[in-house]
Amino acid sequence: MCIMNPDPPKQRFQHQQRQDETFEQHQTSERRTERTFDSVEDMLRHDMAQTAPPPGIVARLEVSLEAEPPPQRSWWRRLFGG
Amino acid sequence: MPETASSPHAAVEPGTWQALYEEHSRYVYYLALRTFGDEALAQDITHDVFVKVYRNLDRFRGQASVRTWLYRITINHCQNVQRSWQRRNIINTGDAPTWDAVASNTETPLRILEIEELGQRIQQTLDALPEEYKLLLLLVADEKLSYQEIASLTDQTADAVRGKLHRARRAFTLEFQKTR
Repeated sequence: MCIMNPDPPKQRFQHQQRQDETFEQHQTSERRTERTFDSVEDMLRHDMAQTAPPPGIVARLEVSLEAEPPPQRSWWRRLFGG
Repeated sequence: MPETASSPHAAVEPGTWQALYEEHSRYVYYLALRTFGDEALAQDITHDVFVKVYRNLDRFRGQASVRTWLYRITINHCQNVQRSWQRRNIINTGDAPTWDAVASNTETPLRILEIEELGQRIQQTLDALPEEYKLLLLLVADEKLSYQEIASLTDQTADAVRGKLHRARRAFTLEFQKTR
């Protein structure tokens, strides 16, 4: 009868090595995403930079503004021309 | 803090709402999003603000920067939405936490590991703050606004804004540390 060791020494070593590599990658990944903000404003600015308005708003606006009368000329334009 | 935006007149011409939208919509959307923590509502508010802008282009007199003008419309609109929301919902304000009394080193830089969670944690933190602190922090995060402009937008003196911002930063830092 042949009993196969499910985890022979060499495979065990390779398995352990893979686990170690995965752990290291995870650590590296965490290090990569770690970030320090000097102030609340810095953090909010970063968040703002990452937060773009969804493109669907422009399409909605185009539809809404089609129904609007054209905007009047600015008072200084009416006064001074241009 | 840098000076205000360049010539306010430049961008405000009939038919240039697209240019205004391109330049300023991020700030309008972000203020609405972090005020309410609701993406759909923030989209509605951004849409409505720019419809108002389109309708009122002729009323803009150039006494303030375009950005300040847009913020004023956005803040008014958010306050209207909030009032109507509060009428429909019973709000238990409870006892406001007293951040000033809490001894903590809030000068420590804010460190985070998972950048993906940042938005969620910021929202959680802002939601725990009084509305006034929240608004001041969101406005001061816009580098184009001066303290004087923030003071004008929130109907108080620049000195009052400075004092409240100091407390708001402290409150934010303490609340942020609780979000994990």
